[in-house]
Parts: sequence; C-alpha cells; structure tokens
Amino acid sequence: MLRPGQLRRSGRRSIWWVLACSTAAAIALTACASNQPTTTATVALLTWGLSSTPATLFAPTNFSAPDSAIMGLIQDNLLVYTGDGKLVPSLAQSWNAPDDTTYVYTLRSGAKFSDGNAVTPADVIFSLQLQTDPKYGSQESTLFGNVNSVTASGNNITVKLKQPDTLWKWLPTHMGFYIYEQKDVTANLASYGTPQHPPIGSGPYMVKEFVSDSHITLARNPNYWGTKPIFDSVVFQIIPDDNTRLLAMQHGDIQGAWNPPPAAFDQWTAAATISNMPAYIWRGLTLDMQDPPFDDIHVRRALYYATDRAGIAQGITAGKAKASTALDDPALFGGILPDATVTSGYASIATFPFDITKAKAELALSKVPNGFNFTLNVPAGSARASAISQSIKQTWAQIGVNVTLNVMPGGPRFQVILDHGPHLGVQVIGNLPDVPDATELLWLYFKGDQAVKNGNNSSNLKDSQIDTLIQQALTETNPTKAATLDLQIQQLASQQVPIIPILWENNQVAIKKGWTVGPINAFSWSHSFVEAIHTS
Amino acid sequence: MRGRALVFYFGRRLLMLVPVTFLVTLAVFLLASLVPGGVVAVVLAGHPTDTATVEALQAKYHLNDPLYVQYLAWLGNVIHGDLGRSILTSQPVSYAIMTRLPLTVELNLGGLLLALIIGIPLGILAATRQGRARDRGVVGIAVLGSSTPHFILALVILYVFAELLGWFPLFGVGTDYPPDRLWHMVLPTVSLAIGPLAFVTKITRASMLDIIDRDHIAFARARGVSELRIMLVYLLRNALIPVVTAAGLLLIGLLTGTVFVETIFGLPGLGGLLVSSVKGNDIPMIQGLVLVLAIWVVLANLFIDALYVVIDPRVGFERSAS
Repeated sequence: MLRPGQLRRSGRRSIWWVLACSTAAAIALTACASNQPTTTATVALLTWGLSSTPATLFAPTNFSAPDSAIMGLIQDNLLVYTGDGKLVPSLAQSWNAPDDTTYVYTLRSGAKFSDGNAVTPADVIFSLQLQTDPKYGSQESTLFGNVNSVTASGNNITVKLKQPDTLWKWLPTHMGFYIYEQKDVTANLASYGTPQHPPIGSGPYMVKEFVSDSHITLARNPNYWGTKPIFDSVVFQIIPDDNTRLLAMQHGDIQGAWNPPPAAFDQWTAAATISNMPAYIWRGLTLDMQDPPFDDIHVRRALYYATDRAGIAQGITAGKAKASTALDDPALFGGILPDATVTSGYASIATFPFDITKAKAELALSKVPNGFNFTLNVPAGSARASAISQSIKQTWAQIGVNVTLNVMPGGPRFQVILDHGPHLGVQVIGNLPDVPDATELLWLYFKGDQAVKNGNNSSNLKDSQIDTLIQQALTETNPTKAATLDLQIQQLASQQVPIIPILWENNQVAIKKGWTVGPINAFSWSHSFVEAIHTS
Repeated sequence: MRGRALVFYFGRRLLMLVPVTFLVTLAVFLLASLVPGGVVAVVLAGHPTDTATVEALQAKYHLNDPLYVQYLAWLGNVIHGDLGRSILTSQPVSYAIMTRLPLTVELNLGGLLLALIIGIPLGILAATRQGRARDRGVVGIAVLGSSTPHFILALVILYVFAELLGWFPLFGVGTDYPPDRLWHMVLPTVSLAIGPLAFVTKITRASMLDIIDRDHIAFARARGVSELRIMLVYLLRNALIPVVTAAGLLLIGLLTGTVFVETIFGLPGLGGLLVSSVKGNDIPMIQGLVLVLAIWVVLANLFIDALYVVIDPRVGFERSAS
C-alpha cells in the first residue's frame, strides 16, 4: 500500500512522461507561433464625417478626388502611390516598360473581388476600356487619351500608348483606372455605383449599405489579398452642416473628417488632431492675353503687383496655405530633383510682390493708365474663390481697376471657360494635379492646343517655344529630365504673366485625439486611406 | 344635390392636376435648359477635358437633342411611370424621390401637427386673456418664434439639447426601430415647428378676438352655456377657417424650412436633393422634383378646401346662379 505522497514507480514515470511531452508540445507551439505574423489588434468601427454624399461610387460617373477616398477602400489598382511617395505593386505584382510606349503589367494570382470571383486580365482590359471607349462617356477619359491599345496574354496585360507619356506611369494608380469586375458592371452599367447597385471591388472593404444623404457602411472584404486594415468596419456619415460636424467630432460621434473650415479651425483643433495632407492645390487667376486690356503686359504686371498674395494666404486660410509663385507647388519636384535645383528654378520665376506704388507705375506705362472696369465671374459655393475675388476687388481698386463681381453657379461659370469665347478676361481658377507630376498643370494651362473650345488654357498663352518644351516634357519618360523641363517652362511662361498665382494649398485631416494619421498625400488617399490612420 | 356638386367640384380640381403639372414642368424645363453650362460643365469643372470627352458626355445624356425632343421624351416616359435617371447620380429619379419622400413628409406633417396642437391652444389662451400678462407673453414668444430663421433655431436647439444636455442625438435618422427613429426626429421636428407654431398662434388669437365680442357669444353666456362649450363650439369652430387656411399655406411653405433642417440634422430628405439638383443643373431630377412638388401643392390646397366644407357647412363651391 502506498503511503500518502508516494507514487508507484510506474506512476512517477507516467507523470514525468506527461510533463516532458507537455513541455515539448509547448515549445513546438511557441516555435510555430513565432513564425506566424503577430496578430494586430483591430478596432471595430471608424466613423468618418462627410460634408456631402458621393454622387456615385463609380469613378467614370464621379470624377471627384474627395470621393475617391471612399472608392479607394472598395476598389484596387494595378499600382499604388504610397503616402511616402513610392510607386508599389498592388493588383499587378510587377510591371515593366520594354520601350517608351509599351507597359506590361503582370496580374497577381489569387486576387479576388468581394463576391469571390477572381480578378482577371479581362477585368483589367475592360476597366481601361471604360476610359477609352466613348460609348461609356467617362468623366476621366481625357487623362487616358494617349492609350492606343490594351491586350492580355496570360496574366500579362500590355498597354500601348500612341506616344511616350510622362503621365502614364502614374495613371495605373489613379481613380480612373480602378479595376472593376466586367461582368458586374456590364450587367448594371446604368445604375452602377448607386445605392441601387453599389460597386463590387477587390479592395480591403465592401459596401454593406449606401443610403444617399445618410451614410455609407463598409465592412471588411473577406477576399482581400492584401494586409487586413485595422478597422473592421468604416461608416461614412453624411453631415452637411459644418457646425453639426464639429459637434459630432466633439461628441465622439465621428472620429475623423476632412478639411475643417478655416473659420472654425480653433474649435476643431480643440476637438481633434489636425494633420496636414499634401494636396498641391493651386489657386490663382488666368489673364486672357488676347482680350484687351489684358493683352497689354503692363496691365498684367500691374494687376500682379496689386494682388496681395501673402495677405490672402494669411487671411483666408489662417496661414494654412502659402503664397504661390507658379502653377506647381515646389513639393511636386521633391525626390526627383535636388532641393537646390528646385530652389534655384523657382527663384528664376518672374514674380511681382504686392506693391501698390509699383502697380500704379506699371499701369501708367500701359494703354489704360487711368484704369478700367471689368466684370469677374465668381463661382458660387466656393468660399476660397469668393474671398480671393473680394480681396482683389479691394486692392485693384487702388490702382483704378474697378471689378464688378458676378457670382454664378459653378456650371455656367465653367461653361464660359469651356466655350472659350473671345473675352475671357480674368478667370478665378482652383485646381490640383491628378498625378504626382508637375507637367499636368503646365499642359492644361500653358499649352497652346488647350487654348481652344473645351480646353483649360483660358490665358490663351500661345508660345511656340513653351509648347515645344511642354510637348517634350509630356513625352519624356525620364522623370529628372521632365522635371527639369517643367522648371524651365514655368520660368519662361512667367515672363509673359499669363497667370497671377495666389495660393498653394494643402488639405487637412481632423482625427480623434490620441490617434495619428500619416504618411498620406492627395495621391495616396485614393487607395485605402485608413491604412494611414494609427490608433496607438 | 349639394353632395353631387361637391363631388363634381373636387373632381374638377383633381383633373386640374394634369394641366398644372404639365405647365409647371414645361416652364422649369425650359428655364433650366436655357441656362448655359449644363450638367456636363458641372461634372467636368476643373478637370482635364477636351472636345471628345464633352461630346461623349453630351451624347450619353442626349443633351444635344433639340429641346422639344428632350421634353417630349421625358413626358412620354412619365406617362409610363418612368421619371428618368439623374445625370449627376445615375439613380432613377423616382427611386431617389421615393426613398426620400417619406422622411420629408414625416418631418413636415410632424412639424405642422406640433404647430397646430400647441399653437391653437396658445392662441386661444392669448385671446381669452387679451391685454393681460399671459396674452403679452404668448404674443412675445410668437414674435420671437416667427422672426428667428429656421437654421438659427435648429442650431441653437441642436447645441442645447443634443450637445450640452445630451438628451437627443446630433444627426441622422437612427435605425428602423420606431422608438429610435422617433427619438432622432424630435429635434428636427421641433426646429421646423417653431416658426409655424408662432404663426398659428397669432392667426388663432386674431381670429378668436374677431368673434369673441359678437352678440351670439354674449347670448350664449346669458343662456348659461358653459365656458368650455362656448370656447370649443361657438368660438373655435368659427375661428378655424383662417387657421385652416394658414395650415394649408404652412403645409406648402414648410418645404423651405425643411431644406435647412435636413441639412443641419443630416437627414436624407427631399430638401437636400432639391438643392443639389438645382446646383448641378440635373434636369431629370429637377423635373421629377417639380412634378412631385406641384402635385403636393395641388393636393394640399384640395385638402384644405375639403376641410372648409367639414368645418363650416355653409361653405359651398357651386357656381352662383345668375
């Protein structure tokens, strides 16, 4: 009989055997676990405040950079431009350019749409045809006008361009080249992207609910090939009123919003963490160089001298924007040209700092030394354009140039530019590049073939030397050479004063206190901006 | 005989819906079409564009067809129950309107009911206490309520009751669970009701004062009729005609206040849709909304006329004999 505490010899062997096996098992399990990715803690819900409902969630029928932030959570691209400025593979696992007009993308195997169907080369071809085939009437089609053909061989998709194109390398990252499921789009084309038929995508999220003027609910896409984002669900809450949106942020009903209004910036700063998001927005004036008296360079210089750009930047944007000297924000050249080269390039741009005395002296040399009157069309609903217009009305009056402000709805106002009539006068412009390349805005606003009906060159700048340089830049595939040409173009154009540059502006992101956001920029937010949000 | 006359009268009024809606939609279509810079300019503003893109969009939405072709095509579809498709949002117009209409109707009817339920008793109170403190108090509040813009009232109510006190939600319609929906609609309905409430109070008070000193009221008192019966049967019923007329005007006029309230409280109603459609020159959506609003106005007027007959049997709509 055993005494208490004493085990049979066979029992002792059994215990040691169990202990040894357990220890071995534990060691094995730990070793296995250490080879698995560490599970990242997830957050159940992100609620984001929007000021308006997206018109649709289908890019061909909604060319909207703000709305691309939502579409980019549902859709995916062949390539992605990251928040820190890198071009990386996404649905395309690799790509190469055998020559200046040919780009080959190798589609990733195993990528699926949220409905479980595989992403195929046919879907990629179809997605590009949405832009190139006029029957679809896509709003982004102008950007893809240089595409000659797109074909597939196995998982390789080949895009051939009509001519070399400096912008093309970025376009696979653009909202205009989201990869859609051909079958789904074709079956529901008329209402695709609406609440009646929300889009299907291969991005990290899928649409669970889309109620116009109320909310959009996204849930994780179980078939997403990439890294799982930290939020299980994202809800976009439509809160049109600025005050209500601020209250919602203070109350914790939303954890993020874009672009707090400058007038309430202090209140937003108290309620949230405000981060800067590079957007390279340009705001300024075009001066019709074929419309008297703006055809007189002395008049253009005088008006430039009489524009208080620094005052506008400080007063209108609470210092969040800076006075511009050209179309392109110098930051667009970052990483392409040395800082010293960029600084030198911008220093050579002709500028005319605010000085009423010099403005009067310049005007005295013109055909209208006593000043003149004209009407400026101002787009309704644009606080920036309205404020800029009010400022120049005041300062230009000091040199005898009397401006009558004609506030117009946005459509009719832009139609004046599209119609490209004989008296374009002065136009208030706000724009940003669609790709991280300085050439685009120069093409739109300085190239002679854009000074036509349905073009954007409302300055009517037609200079053969500048046109040649812009054409070279557009077809230059070496980014350094293209950027060098862009600096030269800006310097040359500035001599003729076709524009009065006023602001370079970025966007702001308001995020819950304690969270951070970044890196992010205007080109990366069209692809899963939530990846830039850090909750700890 | 009277009954048949009333049926003919209201039947004729209903038939008037057809020419009224036709004329209104035609006028709006022509005005919207004649404004330069249609929806294509709206969607392309600020973007790279060229003639090919502009023409492709115009062809897609048949914007190059002659105006009469566009209007007749729309009219033909309407007769078949199809209000067309929004150019801006690609949604069927009828779907966009029908998903938003219930909320706007709910908001407007709720606001009107609240205005009547509170405004009429307040008006009676003021009229029966004419010249005294209660009368002055009610009139003062009514003046304040009718002078303050809807959006100011809405913001103040939102800040006090949702943000400071936390009694109600800040925005949205809530879930489909009725109590939650009701909870979300309290502040928007109250915000919308305050101005009309003030108006109803003043109309009721004025109308009551007009009748309160009449001989038949004094005679009823002398005969020993109770004050409550005098108030409800002798005074109020006679004073209701102007109040009902005011209610009819409010039923139509509340729509303007609805735009502000829906914006501030983030409600997906017709108000926001109307504003965005007009701003975007989205002609199919504007046409559809105008059609619905024209029907609303005609039916509201018809309803008010029918109420007259109920309130005052002397009211008739027969043609007078020569």
